Amino acid sequence: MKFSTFAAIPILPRASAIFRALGFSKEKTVIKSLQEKELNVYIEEARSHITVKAHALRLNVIDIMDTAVILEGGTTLESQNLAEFLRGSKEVLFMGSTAGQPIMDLIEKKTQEGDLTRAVVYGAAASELADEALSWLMVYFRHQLRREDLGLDYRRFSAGYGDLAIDHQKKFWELLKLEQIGVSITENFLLIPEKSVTAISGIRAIGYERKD
Amino acid sequence: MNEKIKKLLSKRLIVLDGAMGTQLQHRGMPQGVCPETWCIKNPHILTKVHQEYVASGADIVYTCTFGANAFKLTQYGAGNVEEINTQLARVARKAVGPNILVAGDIGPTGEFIDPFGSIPFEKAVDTFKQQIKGLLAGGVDLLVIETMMDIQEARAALIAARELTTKFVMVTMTIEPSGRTLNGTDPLTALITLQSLGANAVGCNCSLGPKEMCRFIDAMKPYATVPLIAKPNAGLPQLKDGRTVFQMNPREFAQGAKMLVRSGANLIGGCCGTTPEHIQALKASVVRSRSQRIKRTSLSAVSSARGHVVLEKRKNIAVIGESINPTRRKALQKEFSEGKTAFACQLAKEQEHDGALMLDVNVGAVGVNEEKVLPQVIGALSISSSLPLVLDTSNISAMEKALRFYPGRALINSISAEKSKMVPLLRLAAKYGAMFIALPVGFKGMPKDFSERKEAIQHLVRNAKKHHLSTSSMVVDGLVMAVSSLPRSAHDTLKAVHWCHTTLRCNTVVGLSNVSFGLPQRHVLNATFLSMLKKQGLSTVIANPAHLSSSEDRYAKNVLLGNDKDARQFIAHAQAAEKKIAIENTSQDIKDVIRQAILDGNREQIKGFIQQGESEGLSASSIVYEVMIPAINQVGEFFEAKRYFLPQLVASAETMKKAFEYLEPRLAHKETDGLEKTVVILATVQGDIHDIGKNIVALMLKNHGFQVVDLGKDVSAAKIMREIKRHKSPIVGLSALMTTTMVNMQEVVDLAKAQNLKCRFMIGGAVVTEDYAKSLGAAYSRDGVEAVRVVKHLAAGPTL
Repeated sequence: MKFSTFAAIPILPRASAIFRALGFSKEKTVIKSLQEKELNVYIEEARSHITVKAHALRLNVIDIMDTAVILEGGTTLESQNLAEFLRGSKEVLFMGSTAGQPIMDLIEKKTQEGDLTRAVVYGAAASELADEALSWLMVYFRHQLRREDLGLDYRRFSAGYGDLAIDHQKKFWELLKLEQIGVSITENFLLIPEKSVTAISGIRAIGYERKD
Repeated sequence: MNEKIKKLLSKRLIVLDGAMGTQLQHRGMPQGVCPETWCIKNPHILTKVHQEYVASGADIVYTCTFGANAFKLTQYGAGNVEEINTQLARVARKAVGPNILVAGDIGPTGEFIDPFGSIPFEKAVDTFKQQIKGLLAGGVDLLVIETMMDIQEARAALIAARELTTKFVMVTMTIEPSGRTLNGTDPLTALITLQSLGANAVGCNCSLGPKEMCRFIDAMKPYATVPLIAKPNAGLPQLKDGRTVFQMNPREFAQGAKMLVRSGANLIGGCCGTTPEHIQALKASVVRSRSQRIKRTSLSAVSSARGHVVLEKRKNIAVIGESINPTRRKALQKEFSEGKTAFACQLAKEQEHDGALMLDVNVGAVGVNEEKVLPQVIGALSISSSLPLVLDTSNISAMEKALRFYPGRALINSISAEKSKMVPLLRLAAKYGAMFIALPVGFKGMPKDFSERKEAIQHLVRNAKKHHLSTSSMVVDGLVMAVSSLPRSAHDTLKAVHWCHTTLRCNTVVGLSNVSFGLPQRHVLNATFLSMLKKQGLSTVIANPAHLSSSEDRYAKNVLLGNDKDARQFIAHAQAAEKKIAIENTSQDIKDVIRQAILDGNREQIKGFIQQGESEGLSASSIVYEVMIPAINQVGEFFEAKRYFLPQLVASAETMKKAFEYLEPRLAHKETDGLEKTVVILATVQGDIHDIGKNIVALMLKNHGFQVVDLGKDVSAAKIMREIKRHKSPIVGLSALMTTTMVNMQEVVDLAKAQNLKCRFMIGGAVVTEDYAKSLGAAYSRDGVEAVRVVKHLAAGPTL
């Protein structure tokens, strides 16, 4: 078991990704330069209110069965899809990140003030940063693992995808000690602040990482 | 030993060894074991690897101690850090003999250091010290800090080394293909920070192959005061037969290494995927190469963790933003006394936007513990801004804490000739490699004229030299005083700046706004004085960047300096100005202007346009029915055709809302008859807190005249029932984003049926499908535009 904590993931929001998430189509969407500039200002405003924090945890795989994955410490993840996804992994990497509460407070404030355009863009920027943090963590761990002759799969899997039931979110949250970075979880397995994400990926011998 | 390395470097290129981990694995080291403890148990194998690299031509071998720090070793349950390092250094020394140089290898801890992580900076320094003590006891000739992706961690290791030894220390960062470390540091920024902090050689290792690494060496070479290192991988990893392999063979690698020599690398070796064969080929290819000389002995430049400013030969004055100073900002004083930093970060962002290239940081105020707060503010700014910082405090202890912690090369503001402070501050500048503002006061009190200023500056230069600080480390303060009380002072400042620029050839700075203190039209005096100072060679100014030039000047300046890609900001600004003039002067039909404002989401100007329309005789009803409603319908069509995306739809809807709020009281009662009167209750169901989609639906419906009762998020079924009863036969819109909360929609619908309430349901949200809606007997809407159509359809249906 190897636990890592990241107080501020050094990533910047990618306007193109935020625009895409908001429905921008390269082929079809027409935006005037002034509108684009305005939205870029909103993205920057959002960024200045976000510090992305993250936790990560490496756990040994004890067994991968047909419909479940058993991990060091007795954690069992029940999912045929996940078992298939992780088959051959020696270890797994759990990751969790959050864009934090200040940006959610600001979104709420802007909504109350009737500035929904800002709220929408702030929300998309926060989502993109929380998600991009996981991509950053994967590159980071790929570097770390290379020294151990290990590699990390290129895809990640989250609770709620495929047949990995959403209630696994609670296990992810507990294992990752997300409460320490200000993330709580509701009865419905909703992470609070809203712009928080978790995922799992497989660690294998270098050269055998899954890229599909 | 340092002399031996320097002598070697003056003659030829130095060859470093290649990868260690893969060599050990190929010779039997199992996966998952601690390499360091395995090597201690198998010294003969480690010896063989070292010897093969020496036989291949390596001048320097790295000890097998990459992960021999307390953080990494603890993960394996390994014991005494110092002892492990000592033993492995001895194995290397014994293997290669006395004539080959042994570098004590220091890798990253795998943790992130404050302010970018949770490990306190001093803990990181102590951790590296523990490892370095072991390496020194084992007899290493030099130290190498390598594979660093966090500049703060590299600094911690370098400070640890410098506080323990005078031996040669090399530092290499791992730069990603993007041209920055994973933490966002570019090669030149890393070079500026590390060479000033005392690294004897700087460079990069891992991540890329030799050809790709050339551009990083190219970027560093013109500014390097130290030799440059390149330790690339054997090319980029590629997938071959389902496995990742490093594709460069030794011959290709050696060819790539030649390119690195041409770029200016002085020490070259190999990282991941390289073998003794790669090093042998490298040596053969560069054996006759002379390494490029180091082109300079000093550099006037400052850096942050993610950016830098080179002060030499600047064509324009670099602005140091002065706003982060609680003297005239009570809010900032309050924030600092409460240990908060958000306002300071906001001020940083504003000043950056207004053109500042550096930020002055002063936290001095009553009730503020500078020693504690200054590092906190530095930490917050290092995360939120990439501008280098100017550390502004007269508290020596706070300055030391700040310099030690600051993840870049800082500019000290300031060091005067006042004896009690000058020596300790110069010592700090030297230790942490900082630049400093030399304030020519204190030698004989406040200088009365130019000659006394000159005398004080010369006194500071002499003392700086005693601490091995050249004039390139200095930025001389032109000492601006109020001309209202000292009429000659501006003249003396101009002379001092000119003298520093032409004779001392050093950088200068002024605190501009002092000059106009107590006078009217301050901005005119300030701007004129700045222009005069520029002609004398002024290099930096401390000012509020927003006051230095009009926005037009800024846009023009940025485009002329190539800081505005494709002149986009300049064009946008010009278009906006033209548009404003056009609207003001044109004979364009005001209906078209209002329509266009809704299409463009022009929330700021819509009300003015409508008032103009009214003044031209348009009635409220004609504006609503003939202009606004067709315009918002067109926005909806654009959105559905993806010609508009969500923010455009929402901005247009908000514009419409503003216009409607203004016009509604002006519509005659009968004129509102055409608008929908149906009540629509909206709620995000219990357990769910996502509401942006629901809020957009509410906005769209209001714009079409529906009476929206928005109950908010996480709303219980019971509350929704109460509202349905209160509003009698309304339409109810339910939203949910999660599969776990979506089921609560069923509860609402079932409860309404059980209570025999007459209402119609529309549901939506990320996980909701049309089939699910059907299963509940509800209508489905995908987005805000469709919601309007669906609600209109439901409203037009038979009475329940």
